[in-house]
Amino acid sequence: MTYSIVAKCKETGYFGAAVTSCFPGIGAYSPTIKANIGIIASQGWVNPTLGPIGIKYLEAGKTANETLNTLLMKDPGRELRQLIVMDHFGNSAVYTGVENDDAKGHIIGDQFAVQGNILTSLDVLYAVAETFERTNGPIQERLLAAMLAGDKVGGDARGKQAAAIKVVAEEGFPFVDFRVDDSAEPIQELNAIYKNNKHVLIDEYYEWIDAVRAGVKLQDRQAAMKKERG
Amino acid sequence: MTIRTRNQKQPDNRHFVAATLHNWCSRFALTHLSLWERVGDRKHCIWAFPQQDYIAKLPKAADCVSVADHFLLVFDTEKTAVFRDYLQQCRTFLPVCFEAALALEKRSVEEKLWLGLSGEVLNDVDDSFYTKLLDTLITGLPGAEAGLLLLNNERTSKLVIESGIGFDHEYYQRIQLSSDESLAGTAFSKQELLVYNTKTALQQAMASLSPKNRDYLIQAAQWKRMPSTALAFPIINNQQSFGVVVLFGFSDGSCFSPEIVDTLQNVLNYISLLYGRYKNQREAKKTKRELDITYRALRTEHSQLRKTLDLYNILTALSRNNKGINEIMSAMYSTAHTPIVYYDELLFPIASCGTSEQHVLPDHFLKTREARYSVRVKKWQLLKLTEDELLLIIPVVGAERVIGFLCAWINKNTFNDSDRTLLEYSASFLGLESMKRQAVEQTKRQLFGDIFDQVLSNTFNENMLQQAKNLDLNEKDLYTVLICEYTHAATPGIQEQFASEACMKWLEQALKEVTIKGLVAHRRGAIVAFLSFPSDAEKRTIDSKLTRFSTRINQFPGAIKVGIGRLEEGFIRINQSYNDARQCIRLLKKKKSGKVYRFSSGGIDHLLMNHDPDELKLFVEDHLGLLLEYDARKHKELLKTLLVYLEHNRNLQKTTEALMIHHNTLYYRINQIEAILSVKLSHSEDWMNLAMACRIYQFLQG
Repeated sequence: MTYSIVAKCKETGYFGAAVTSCFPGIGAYSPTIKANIGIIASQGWVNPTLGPIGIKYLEAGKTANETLNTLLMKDPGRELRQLIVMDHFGNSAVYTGVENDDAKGHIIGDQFAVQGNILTSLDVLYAVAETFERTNGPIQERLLAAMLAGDKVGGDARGKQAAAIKVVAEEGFPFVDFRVDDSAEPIQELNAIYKNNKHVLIDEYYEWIDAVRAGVKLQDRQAAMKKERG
Repeated sequence: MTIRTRNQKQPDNRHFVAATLHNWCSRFALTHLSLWERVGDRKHCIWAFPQQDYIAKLPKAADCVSVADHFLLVFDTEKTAVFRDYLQQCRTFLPVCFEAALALEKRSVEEKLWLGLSGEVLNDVDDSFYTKLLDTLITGLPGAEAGLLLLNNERTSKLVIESGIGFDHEYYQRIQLSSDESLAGTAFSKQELLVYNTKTALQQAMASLSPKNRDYLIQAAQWKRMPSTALAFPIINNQQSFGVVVLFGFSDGSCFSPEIVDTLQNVLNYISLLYGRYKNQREAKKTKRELDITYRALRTEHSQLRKTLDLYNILTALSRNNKGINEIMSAMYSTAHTPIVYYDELLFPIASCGTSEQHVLPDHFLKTREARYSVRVKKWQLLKLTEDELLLIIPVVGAERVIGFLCAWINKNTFNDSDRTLLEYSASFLGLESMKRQAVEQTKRQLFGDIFDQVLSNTFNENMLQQAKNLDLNEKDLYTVLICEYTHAATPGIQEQFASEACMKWLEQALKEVTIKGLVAHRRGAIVAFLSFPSDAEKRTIDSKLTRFSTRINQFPGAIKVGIGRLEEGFIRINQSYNDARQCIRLLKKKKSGKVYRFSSGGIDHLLMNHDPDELKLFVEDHLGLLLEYDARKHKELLKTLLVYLEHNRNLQKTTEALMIHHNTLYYRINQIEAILSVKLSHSEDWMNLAMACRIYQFLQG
């Protein structure tokens, strides 16, 4: 039904994840990310409560393996789900429940992990993982490139409907958080949304945070900067 | 509004000559006296009477006397001439006196500044470092009344105010300066200490301040206006600017004298070092925190990996050394430290570790959603037992199906969740071991069944004898055959196809308990078993074991019928024992009660069983016919009375109690029986015939 990728940027330390599914508004259910803490990405028959609970365990200092094992112990529907836990260090632990439909599986890489079910084939996962590793640039653009590669190979066997990307830099200040809830080409649309809108806040993310913290409008800052530039 | 203010109790060391000047005031009746210092083209007040403080402007209509090049005395008195004469006399002494005072002040300022910077600030590694640093500077430097400490935000390349004294945080937090904006930006980019002691110079320096930032600065200032004097210096580390400190004077006439600037110049490097040290300590603290987290994570992962590897090595060694299920269970227990039991698919416990009486499966375990689900998906499940206790059910999977359950009683608060994976892993070893064991058992049963068939049909050969030897069937031992008939209801809660298997396992277990060697198999629609005893075993011991075994069979939780034949020497002669056992089953069926019947304890029934039933009926008719007819005709119970009388061996009291009748009634009935049958119960032959007839009657009635 779904494939997703979670990752930690080795340069910035940002945590990010992207997901697509033939399920409306998938981004509302998963992933859950907390800056400097980690990621919980649940799919299959998603249990959205695993996100906040898992983040609590990670915050308490549990590793990805510990957190995954504890979450599995607390989730009676574990066999219906796929679950990635990425910890503070970028290490991942993944579980693919036996009741997920084929083709299903997961890949754990260096500071990233990929999972998927009801795929046209496992080549989708390989394409996502390889593209992410091969692509340079900001984490959000690597994630999008990976998702597009998966989409190209075949993606979801039942079709496509929704996609989401989320990258967290500073807690409380969304960095990249775009969703496509219902579309014939959700990943391509997600990519277009990112490209068309990244200049709004993403390119001036920290200026925006400073403006919010100072209690002033970002536009004033931008105007001041323009004036400075002449 | 949150405005931190400077320490107002600033000591005036510069006025150490105050006593002298005071003395002049009274001696020469001065109504005004002030001492001024020339700094460039600017004069600023050092001491004044009667205000006892600085004054901003030179007073009008006052006399002035220059003292050397740097000092000016302004006074107002009616004794002007006298005072001027006095000053003339002291003209060589006064500059020295004032210079000494200034030098002393400079030293005092330096001392105070160094003391402040090497005290609390030095040891500060928390967020108050910047405020304390600023406070030390403002308190220590005459002329400084307020200040801001700005740090460079590397992500936005802006100078952001980290701390402020004499300014409202609500407003100053909105100020962000570009790297060359205003005097702070200039000091930051030029890496120079800048002093602005005149309003004009200050206004020029602050001209580049954006209107918004200017508004915020005025709103933030405690004085609600632009400062009259300012001093800015950069914080530099490795030739790179990290921030700026700006000190302000708002009062009229305030200024930063050359001595103060000179003093500050001397501590600039030290302040940068302090900043560097603070940053390093913060980084070290952060790194230590990171290392602590990393250490804990590594420790956890290492510990789990070690446990996994240890268990893997133990299990591999056990498998290599052909060790069994009990050893695997022990290894699991020593790893997970939680009670575990391994059940077969019929829930017979095969092995356990760390358990007590309380560790039993809940009722209808196999019907629970968790057990059914674990069988269906062949994955572990958790069944809640109490608020804190959970039953971890790990299905043990054979070639294609679940062949057992590894159950662990875990406390959800103390159990290490990662150990679940180890138990799951070990369960696969149990599966392999069980399959191996099952294969051996099935082969054994098959062989035994074949031998059994051959013995019964008298077609055994040398090959069979060899196989029997392999099965540990010693030709000289004593044997008895057990036959067990069961129904599906015999083993409640177990599916039909498993009922036979369940019975066999139960019997095998019961045999083990009473230490009887036995081989069990399913043949000819029933369960059959050879029970063997050493040839030299005492008959009494054998009988005792079989009695205990019979008692145990009676405890079987279901309806079964078990017949046990007579002992025979050598298993090839068990035909008779087999027939005995079959006869026992027939007798049990006739009796309609009881679960087990041993041929050796059967008595006369076996004789009756082999006798012609018609002849037995005739015997009953001959001796009891008249009584039966009388009872039927008169609706009496004389036969029942006779049977009870016999059963109690002619004991009158026990008979009357059993029948709940008066003893006279019993006498009367006995007389009636004797009359109807024309017998005397006291006569031994009559009594023997009647007893036999009654026994046969009961046998025929079943």
